[in-house]
Order: sequence, then structure tokens, then C-alpha cells
Amino acid sequence: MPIVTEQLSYVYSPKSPFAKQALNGVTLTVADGDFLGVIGHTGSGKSTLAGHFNALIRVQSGRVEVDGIDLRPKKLDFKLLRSTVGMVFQYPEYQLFDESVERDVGFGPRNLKIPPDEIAERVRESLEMVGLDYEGVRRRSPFELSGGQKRRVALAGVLAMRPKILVLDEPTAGLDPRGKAEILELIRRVKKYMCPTVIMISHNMDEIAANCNKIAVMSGGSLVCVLPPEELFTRGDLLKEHGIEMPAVTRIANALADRGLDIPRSLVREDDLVAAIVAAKRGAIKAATPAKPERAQKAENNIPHTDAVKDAAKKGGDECVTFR
Amino acid sequence: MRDVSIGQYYQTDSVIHRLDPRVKLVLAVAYIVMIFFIVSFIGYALGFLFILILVLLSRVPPLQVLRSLRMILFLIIFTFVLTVLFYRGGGDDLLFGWQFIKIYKTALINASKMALRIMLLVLGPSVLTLTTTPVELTDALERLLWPLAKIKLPVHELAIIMSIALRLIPTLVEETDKIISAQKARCAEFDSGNIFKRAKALLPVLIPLFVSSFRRADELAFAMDSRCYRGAVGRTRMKVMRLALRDLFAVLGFCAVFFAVLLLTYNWFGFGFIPLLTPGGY
Repeated sequence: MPIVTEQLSYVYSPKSPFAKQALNGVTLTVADGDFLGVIGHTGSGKSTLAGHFNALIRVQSGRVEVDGIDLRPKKLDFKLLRSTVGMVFQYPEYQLFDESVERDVGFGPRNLKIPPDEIAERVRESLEMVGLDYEGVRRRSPFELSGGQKRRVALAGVLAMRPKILVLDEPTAGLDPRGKAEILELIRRVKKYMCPTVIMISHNMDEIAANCNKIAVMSGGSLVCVLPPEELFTRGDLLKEHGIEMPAVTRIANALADRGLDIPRSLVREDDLVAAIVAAKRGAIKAATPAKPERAQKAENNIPHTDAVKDAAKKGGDECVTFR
Repeated sequence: MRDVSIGQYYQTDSVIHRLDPRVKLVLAVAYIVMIFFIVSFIGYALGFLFILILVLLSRVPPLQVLRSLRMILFLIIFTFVLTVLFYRGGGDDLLFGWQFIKIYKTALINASKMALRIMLLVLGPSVLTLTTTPVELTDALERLLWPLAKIKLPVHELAIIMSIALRLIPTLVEETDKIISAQKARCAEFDSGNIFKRAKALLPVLIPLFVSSFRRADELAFAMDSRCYRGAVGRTRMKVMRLALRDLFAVLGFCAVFFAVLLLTYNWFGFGFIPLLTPGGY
């Protein structure tokens, strides 16, 4: 059980006129291998919750346990904790500082007092993990890289500590669609090969739906629910009450189902949607074949049209306007 | 980092908040002059009464005002102790003597007065900054220094530099907090080792902070340029400051207090009750 919180509450500037309840009795369990998405409006307590996981924000009331470490005592093995939980903040590229990429990525391991030859290896490993050419970038200044590359270097700087749990606060904010896709691809790769448990805060439902196996909905400092995406995005009441947008894929599925296509409304991933559409079309053809072979022939010809739907699904949000 | 309280404006609506910032600024300067005319304890009492009335009128919680004293508490104690210990004036009013430590009554009285004076000096301007936004203050300063623009002093530019700087302080503090958190997440330590180590440990915070300040400055310059900012020439104001009746009352009220202070000190008219209020010249 890597992360357990129980009745976790937090107040900013307590006992002052500016006191603000940021967390209110949050009880949450994140299991090994989870890809947890955290959603909620600005000020709903997402970042405060995430800050607790590596003791950047200390426990005021309630309990937090991370990978068997109780975070309540004042004195903690911060190095152990912070190398267990890698935290990637919003716009992580703004934290780059050192003269070369190599040294910047090695900052974490150096603080952990790891021997130099192992640091070099970790730096190579994490730069390759984020898809950068190690020999090509290691001696360059982080400030002369492009925006997307900088973000990768910053991510590598966290990965170089070899965390078991990765916490990401809006990792795709401010990137173009391609950069977003690349970063998400990279996060999936990290989860697969390096760091099995990932927690991602995001405002983008498409990203959340496509990657997470559990979604925590926060509102006004409280945890509303933790549900798998297939369930959350079919709960119209929850979506409406907390102003949560549906992912494009689910909207397309709903629009098609409204028009009579026989597909489930709970689809959240592009591939599933495409498969469901193909299956539904095939089913329609099979049903039609015995009665009117002529029309069936026509329908068979229609199958390639699913490619168009697939394209539409790939393009995501913009295209689904036509389905509304 | 949250203790940087230059922008300590307390948002509420009160008659003091609504006063013209120019009037407040001029009165604050006059108030500081007034403090130096106070010589007796009853005069200090009058000063504190004045501040108390201001605070009550301004609807700022008194604790918030006292917070400004907390920062100079050390200074007050330090000056008090030094004044008491190193007083070498009188000889007949020794209260306590042990070896080289001699404590005189006059020293105690002088030191108390000095402490009271420092407190008043801090409280007045903090009422000003609690009830006036930094932007209002720089605007007021710009308007008051207007005559200097006639002798080619770039008053407007200085004012805008100041208001931009003030505006950016909270932003930079927030930015600093974020960067510190990010570096702490990479196991950076800021509070261990000797002074050189600590200074070096600040580099991972300072460099990103500088970089982002330059970026911000660049973006701001572009934004100002794109909105045709050309400096002071031909520029009109969104908020035109106009004197209201309440400003007149404020000035009159303050003049009354100032006059009372002067009267307590100099007793021009030879009132019999004033010496009674200041027994023994204290």
C-alpha cells in the first residue's frame, strides 16, 4: 500500500483572518500500480493533497502513510521519503538552474549523496527514459533547449532519484497538442518501466480518461469520490454537480448512442470506441444479411467509413462539435 | 517568506481607506514631525489615543496593526537596554548600582520615552500602509512630486518603476515558494551546513528566480508596448484623485491633534492645567 490518507485536513494560515480550509477529512488509498487521476476545480485542494505525499506540506490533522512511512512525526527521513515520491510541479522547467543538463539532472542524486559513477548512470538512464539523446544534450545549458525539451529535462531530474511513486501536477500545461501527446506517452513509459505508481493532477479529461485506472474527484477541499473512469463519466449526476466535462471519446460515444448506434455509453478510450463502432456496424450488417443481401452489400462497403470516425476520435474535442 | 509585508494592505471599507492617498501621505509625514514635538508622557498618551482612534475608524483589526510592532520589538528592547545601561547624566537619582552597572531614574524615563516614540513612529505609517494600496501610494507620490517634473526629473517613470516593483513583490514571493518546494522535492537542503554551504544551497533557487524575473520583465514590456505605453506625455488617468469633504475634516482633525501636542510642549498661553498634566516635567 504505497499511499494511505485518513481524515486528512489542512488549514492555511490557521488562527488568522486569512485562514482557509484547504483539505477537509480526505480519506484515500492509492494501491501499488495505480494510475490515479486527480481532478477538481482550482482551489479544490488537489495540490495541497499532493504536497502532503512527500512532506512538503506537513500533516496538521489526520494521518498520511507513504510506502510504510508515517508522515506525522516532526522528524522524518526526508531524503528517503523524497526519493521514494518523485514530485513534478506545474511548469517544472522553471526550476532548472545548473550549467549543464547533466549537472541539473544529477542535482537530486547528488543531494542523496550517491557515488559519482552511479549518478552518471542514473543521469543517462533518466535522460534516455524521457526520450532525449544523452550524448547530444548532456553538456548543453538547460536554458538553450526548447520548451518541450526543458520539461523533459526537469522530469528526468525527478526520475534520476528513482522514485517508486511519481506525482505530477498538470504535466501537460502550456504545451501544444503534440508536446502533450509526447509527454503522456513518456509518462506511460515511465510507469511501465520505472515507477509503477503514478498520480496525475490534470484539468484535461481526455488525458485523465485515457490513462488513469482510478479518478479522484476533489471539491472544496473534500474528496467526493474515487471511481474508475468508465463509471465516473457515466454518472451524469456527479458530472453535473461538480462541473466535470466528459472526455471527447465519451461524448462521441454518447452522441452515436443517441442516434441509435448500438454501443456502450461508458467508453473512455479511443481504441475501445473504434472497436465498439466497428463491432456495432458489423452486428448491423450480420443482422441485415439474411433479409436483404443487396443492402448488406452496401453496408459492407460502408465499413471503411469507420476510418473517418476513427480520425474524428483521434482529433478529439474539436471534431466532436459536429456530433452535438 | 510570507513576512515580507510591504504590501500589507488590509482590504476593507472605511472612512480612512477612502481618504485621498495624497492627503494621507502628507499627513503621515506631518505625523512623523509631530512625534518629535512630543516631550511628556501625557503627550505620548495623546499620540497613542490618536492612533487608537485611527485604527478604530479604519476597521483594521488592532492585532493586525500590532503585528508591525512585533518586527521591531527587538530594536525597541535593544535601544531601551542600551539607553538605560549607558546613561551617564545625573548622579543624584541612582536607583540601582552594582559594580559598573548603574541605573538612574532619568535614564529609565528617557529610555521609556524613546521606546514609546519608536512605537508611535512605526504605528502611524503602518496605519497608512494598511489602509492604502501600494499603487495608490505611488500614484499619490507621483502627484505630489509633480512640480519636480518641471525641472526634468522623470517623476512619472520613477513612480511607474516603483509601482511595478511593488506589484511584483508578492508574485516573486509566490514564485520563490514554488521553486523552493520544487528543489526540496529534489532533496535540496537549505538549513544545514555552514554559512558558505547555505549560500551555495540558495543558488538553485536564485538562478531560476532571476531567469523568471527577466522573462516576466520582458513579457511586461511587450504587454505595455502593445498597449501603446509611451511614458508620461499625454497620459490620462483612470482614477482621478479628487479631494472630498472628508479630506478637509481629516486635515482639520489632524491639525487639532498637532496643535494639542504643541500646546502640551510649549504652553504658549500659560494654561495652569498643563503643568499639572506633566508633573515634574515628565
